[in-house]
Amino acid sequence: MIDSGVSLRERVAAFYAYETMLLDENRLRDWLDLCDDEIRYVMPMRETRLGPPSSNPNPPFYLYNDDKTSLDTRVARLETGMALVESPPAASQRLVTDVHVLSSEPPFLVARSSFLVVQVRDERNETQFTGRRTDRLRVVDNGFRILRRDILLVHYVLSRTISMFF
Amino acid sequence: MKHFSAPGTEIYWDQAIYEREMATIYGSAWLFVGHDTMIPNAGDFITNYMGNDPVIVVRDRSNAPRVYLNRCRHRGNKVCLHDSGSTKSFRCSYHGWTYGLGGELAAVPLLDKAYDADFPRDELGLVSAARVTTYHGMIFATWSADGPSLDDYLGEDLRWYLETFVFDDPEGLEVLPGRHRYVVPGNWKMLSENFGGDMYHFASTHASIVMLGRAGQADRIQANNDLRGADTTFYSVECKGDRNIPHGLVQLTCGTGTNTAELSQAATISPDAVAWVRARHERRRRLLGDRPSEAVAFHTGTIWPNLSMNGFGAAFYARTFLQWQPRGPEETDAWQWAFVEKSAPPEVKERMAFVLTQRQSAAGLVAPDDMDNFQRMHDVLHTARAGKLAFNYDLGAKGEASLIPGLPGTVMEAVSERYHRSFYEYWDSVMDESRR
Repeated sequence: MIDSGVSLRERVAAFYAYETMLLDENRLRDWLDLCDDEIRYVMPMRETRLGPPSSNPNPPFYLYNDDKTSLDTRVARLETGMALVESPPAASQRLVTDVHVLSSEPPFLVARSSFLVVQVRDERNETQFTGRRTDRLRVVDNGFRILRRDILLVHYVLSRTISMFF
Repeated sequence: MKHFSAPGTEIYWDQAIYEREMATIYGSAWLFVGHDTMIPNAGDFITNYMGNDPVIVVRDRSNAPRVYLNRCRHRGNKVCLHDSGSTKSFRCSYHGWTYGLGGELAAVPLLDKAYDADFPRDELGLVSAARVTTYHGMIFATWSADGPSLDDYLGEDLRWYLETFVFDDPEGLEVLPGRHRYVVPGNWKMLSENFGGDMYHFASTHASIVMLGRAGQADRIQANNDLRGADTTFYSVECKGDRNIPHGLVQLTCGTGTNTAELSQAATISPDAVAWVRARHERRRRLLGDRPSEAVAFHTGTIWPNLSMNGFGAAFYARTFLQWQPRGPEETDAWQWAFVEKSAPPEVKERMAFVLTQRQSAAGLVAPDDMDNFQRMHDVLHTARAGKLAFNYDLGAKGEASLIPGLPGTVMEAVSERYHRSFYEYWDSVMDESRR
């Protein structure tokens, strides 16, 4: 339910702050609980194109095109302790900002945000990913669940492969 | 037994060696530049690289693929700035020189007023690749006017494997929208040798996904490692092209157990998927003919020098071609394209894209492990003590005999570094020639 005393934007921002904390503290199971069972988690790769869009009707080759089960598999991999990215553990810090509620049709709303993630490992190897997210959130009693997340990185060429969540 | 002397590791960091590679290896090899389905109509183009030279790959008005150096003949500006698209011409943004789809210099601003009548406009078209050839939809180009044909370059042995396990679909492969690009901290040769011959790393590097598979947590995204029966045996294969050009295939899969496992997997998708997989198995069995071994697929491979393949070992895994784009001796851009067999039902194509995304792709469960290794190797590559310390490439039998003489190429134990040795012997011979 939407509290009249606190703006919807502030509630969404608080939800994102909580989500960011879980991801930065590597509490990935708790983070998965914020994902709706029907979640679509999508991240395309950017390209530049001259002229009309391609008429290729095939399914796209995305960076993420996940449902709850495949997100769970990704978390399970990181939990094995054998994924090279997590041995030794990587440190990450996210900044989520520019929270903007685009539309609200209870019990759903659409919100846009910007993010910057810095991931550091193996002494001095640092990577940054930055971009924007458009979320469709489901309002539930104790907050929100992510029903759909579209992530668009600003990068055309990734500075390294991705083993993390946004 | 032939002694193998591993090259010094300066071949992974030395700028002068790198520049010689770009001139000699990349100046003469047949290089993958694109696929017919990326540029279906006249005027369609993509941009790519041949070595470190940027190129435009465009379909001309007669529907032939053409490959041009992406550089204006006037002041050397790029003339095409997009990853892909459709156009009638390429116009330089600096002074407006404009080139047609045939590469000709079609328009020069102030041509009549400001240039002499004898201005050699006909000689100032875009620089074209010396030869361009299409092989089952794959467009290859070379800067070298002489040298082997593409068929000879690939060689009869490799072509048999490609025609049986890559291009066997009667309707061919078609590309999926989307191209992954990411930076790899390391030399291009490390990537090529890995995909062409390194089955050895899988158990250690990718232990996390092996664990998921054993725990039944990766059933929807199984690759050929998971899809096996009691009779399944894996091999690696070395296939040499003209004058010992080294191509390699990893995880040649023999035994019908894989087919049985694929049929069970198909049953979880749709009846059309079952029919499609069954037809695929029958087609491959026919192509195998009376050769021994019940070979059903291979999983990864490298076509010299920098085109690698992955995802061919399992029916529901999109086929992927990876280009290792050299960006200096110590950096490589990985470019990755995904393909599906055109005859596959839509739900199979969806599954194939999904499985590739989950596994050997920029954010998958497999590729990032490799890239972490390359980063760590890079951290101790170019230092005072480490910088010339050779790697070790002794793994596997050094004999010449194939384990399955009835199959093309030299079939060897799955885990071997024989391909690596051939790779560097050939590399050395090409670089040696260029020194003379």
